[in-house]
Amino acid sequence: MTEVVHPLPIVVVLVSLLAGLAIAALGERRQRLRTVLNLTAAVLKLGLVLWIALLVMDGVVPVFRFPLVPGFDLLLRADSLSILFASLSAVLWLVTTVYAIAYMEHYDNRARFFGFFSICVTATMGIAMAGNLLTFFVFYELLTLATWPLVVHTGSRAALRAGRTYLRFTLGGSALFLVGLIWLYALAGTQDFIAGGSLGLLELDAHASLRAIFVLIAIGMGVKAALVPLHAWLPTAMVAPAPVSALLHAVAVVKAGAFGLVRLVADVFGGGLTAELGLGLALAIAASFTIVYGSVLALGQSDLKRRLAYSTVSQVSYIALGIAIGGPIATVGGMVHLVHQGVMKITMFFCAGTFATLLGVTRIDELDGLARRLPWSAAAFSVAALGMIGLPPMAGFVSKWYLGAGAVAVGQTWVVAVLVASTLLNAAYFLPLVSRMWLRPAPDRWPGGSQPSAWVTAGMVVPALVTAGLTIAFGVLAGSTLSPLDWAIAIAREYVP
Amino acid sequence: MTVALAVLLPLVAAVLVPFGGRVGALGRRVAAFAPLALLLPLMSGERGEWRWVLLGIELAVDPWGVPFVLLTAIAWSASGYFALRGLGRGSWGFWLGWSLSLWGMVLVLLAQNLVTFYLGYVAVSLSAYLMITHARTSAAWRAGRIYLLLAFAGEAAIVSGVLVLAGHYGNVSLPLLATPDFAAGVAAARWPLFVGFAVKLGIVPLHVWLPLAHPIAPVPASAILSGVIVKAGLLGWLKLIPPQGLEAAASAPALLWLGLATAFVGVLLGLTQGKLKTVLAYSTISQMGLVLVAYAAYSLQPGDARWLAAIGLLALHHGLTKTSLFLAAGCAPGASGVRRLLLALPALSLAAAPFATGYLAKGWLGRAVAAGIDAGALASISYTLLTFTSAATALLMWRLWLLALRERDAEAALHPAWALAALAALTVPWLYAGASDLLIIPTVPSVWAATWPILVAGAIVLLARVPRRPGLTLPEGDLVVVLEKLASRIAPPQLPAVPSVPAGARLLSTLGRSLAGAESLLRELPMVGLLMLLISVVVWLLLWL
Repeated sequence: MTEVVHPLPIVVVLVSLLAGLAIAALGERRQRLRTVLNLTAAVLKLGLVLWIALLVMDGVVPVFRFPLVPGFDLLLRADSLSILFASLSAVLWLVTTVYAIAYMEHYDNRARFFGFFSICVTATMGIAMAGNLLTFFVFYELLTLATWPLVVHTGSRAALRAGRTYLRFTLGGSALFLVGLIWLYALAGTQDFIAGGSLGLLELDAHASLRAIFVLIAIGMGVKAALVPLHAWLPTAMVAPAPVSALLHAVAVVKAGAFGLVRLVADVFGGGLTAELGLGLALAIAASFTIVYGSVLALGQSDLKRRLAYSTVSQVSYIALGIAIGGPIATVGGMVHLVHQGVMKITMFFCAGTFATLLGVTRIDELDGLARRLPWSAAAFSVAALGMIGLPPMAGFVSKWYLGAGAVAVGQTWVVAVLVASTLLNAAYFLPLVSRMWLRPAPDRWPGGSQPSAWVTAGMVVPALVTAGLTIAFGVLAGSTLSPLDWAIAIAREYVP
Repeated sequence: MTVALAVLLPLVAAVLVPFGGRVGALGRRVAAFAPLALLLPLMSGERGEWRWVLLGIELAVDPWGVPFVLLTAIAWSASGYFALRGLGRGSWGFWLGWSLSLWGMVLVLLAQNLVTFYLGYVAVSLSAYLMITHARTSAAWRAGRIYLLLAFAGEAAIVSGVLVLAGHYGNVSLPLLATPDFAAGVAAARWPLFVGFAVKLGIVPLHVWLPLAHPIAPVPASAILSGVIVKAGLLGWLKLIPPQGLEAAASAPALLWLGLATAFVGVLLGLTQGKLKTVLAYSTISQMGLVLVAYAAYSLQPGDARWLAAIGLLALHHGLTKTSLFLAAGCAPGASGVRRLLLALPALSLAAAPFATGYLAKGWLGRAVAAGIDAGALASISYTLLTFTSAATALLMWRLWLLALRERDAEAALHPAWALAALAALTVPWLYAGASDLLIIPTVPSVWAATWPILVAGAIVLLARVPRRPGLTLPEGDLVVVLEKLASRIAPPQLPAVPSVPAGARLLSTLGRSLAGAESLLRELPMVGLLMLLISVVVWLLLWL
């Protein structure tokens, strides 16, 4: 790996930012131009990410650095872990843009919506490419603020309340993150992310301070990653429009937190130091608790989107669990779940939005016989649900396999019990939905919904089919080159030699 | 190529059957006869490897796996032929379950590594649900619910074992597990896997789903569920926890007793049943007890390949016989003399009557147990008890006979698939034994040894006048009814009935709801502030450590 100064990392970030500003400036009326801009930016970004990925595969790491203030650099650096997250968000963003254009057809203030939507992408790209904690923090905060208008988009009282809860949690967490960040810089100086951890190289004799810094920053990440008890904002944020929920849960906010935890453990502290400080086990226990707790709560929800939200709480912690267990195999499991959870959960939210828009179905007991009316959406939802349970040949199985096998390989057999419990709980709260959709008779009339044009319907159904297809493909083709698994294995080689 | 064909044909069928019209009809035909494609890899002996699929797929016929492949090819396609009548358009859910469970079964049969096996096993377990609930009646939903509950309990045990194996050896090649170097991992994963697969086989007390689920499915599905799919559990034992290298001798007597207990309990419970197909389901439980006896005997002397072959023979005999009996149940077996004969012969064979295939299979089982007794590892009474299981089976078959005589609906035609299955049940095990040096030449003592248990059963029938309606009738699924009552007491009654959420899950969902109440507190501003404050304090405290 050779680092090369290259404008690509900043270009990727700027593309979305400029698109966002342009969309906001265009105003509400210019719908066609806005759609074109939206899609062009999304496609362009995907192309740029692929370009960077090709560079990285050739062993070149593009780097872009400029001083924010003297001594503190804004560093954008595309290593292979960046690519994993950036390509996930580029692909899913394109799909979500298509979905959002169809879904938001009858909403107001779409210029504002899509403007912030693009700024969210900017932030996510920045998070993916961030080369040190400070850069990470800047984009992390940008994400917090850019997401808020999306969450409260409808402007209803419930939405505003959810928005307030969201800000309380995320800003509170950010404050602790900032304290941890400053403390770390005071203690160890500014450092770039290094595979294997930069702190481990310093051999600092300040274990207590290091522990405290880890906890502070992990809380900052944990709020977004919805680690229990910092997760309470996520289910209320469900009042947001479906594309926002889909993004929140699959790519943007929640995933940014999980990605931050990965960076914190793998690039700042390093697996060795994390384990030495006893933090690996602590994080693994917190993640395990979250996995089981989120699933138990999901069982009690009768609203479809809320059930999906609690399922996210549970599933995202697989990532933290994998990285906390350490060892090459579990690390692969955690990293690959970053992608797998994204494609599975976004499919489910797409479908939930489609059900609500077309048939007015928002509750689980209204799902009966739904497959008769929306067979393709129901099929996509079912594929994702089976993947969430972790059944082969879906993507979720690959994650579970690596997490479980990795835990056993490093002697942490208790993790298998957590995974099994999660499997059973996932089956208990997803299989009834699948069974209702396909096997129950349909009601005489549906609760509501509208009959949009065929184009709009297709714009909502096709993205779900694409991501459901990815759910299958990432599982079935896991063993082939360039699958997420293959990429995750390549990353893990850098981190755990 | 031949392997790929055997695996892909069921998948092709699964894609086609949901469509209507001619495409769907083609799909159903493919689904019905796709099992015959299994004969191709059997003949070619080819090995299929796809490293890029999943975590690596490897398929081949094991040297000892031939009887299992034969069983699936013959029994499943005969049942498929049967299913083409009566299950047409509109039952695509059934056909989807049929194709996918066939796909899973093929993978289980041919699996050469851990992931392949697990993939197949999951496919078989899940898609069987579609066949069980096909009738859409409340009884079918209940059977499906209990089936899923136990299937996932088994799945939990299996996935733990699989992950432990994977943690030790990765996606290990299964034949390697039978070598001493791999004993440590196998020993660690052994008991979860044993219990998980025992659910599929219906070993007492994990049998409760079986008498509910097997009879409620349409006739051809009952036939393959009872005849073939239960063997997936046995294949799990043989492939994932081979007794070589394990300290298996210590636990073998316990397994043997468990098997014998299952054999007798299955018969006793079956005698109290009033439906033809339920009696057959209990008979399956009883026969799987015998399979466990064979597995126990084999694990005493894992070096001796004959005992492994004996297990295969037992599976082949039971699978074909049970398939033909279930198909009989769909054809009004009491309606004519020919039909009664087609029922009686396999039934007698199941009771190990002389010269039948049951005589052959049980002969080998007896030898395996006798070898264990000679080695001093098993109590000698186990051989006597084993002989008595034949008498018990004969009694159960008598009960079957009485119930069958009542089914005289002349409308139901005699389906050729039944006749074919019965013919196969009576001949194929003999042919296989002839081809692989497993023949037992009948001698006078051995014929007598097989005859007297049936005479004992006959004497009991005559003396006790086993009435046409048994005095004691137990509900299907016996224990499960008690458990259901208990569960319904625990579960709060005011909850809206959530179909297909098992009672345990309902309990959890109440817990979930009360937790959600506590959670709403978490979202209040003072609570959030307090939380953050608390965390800061904790961090400060950490500093002093």
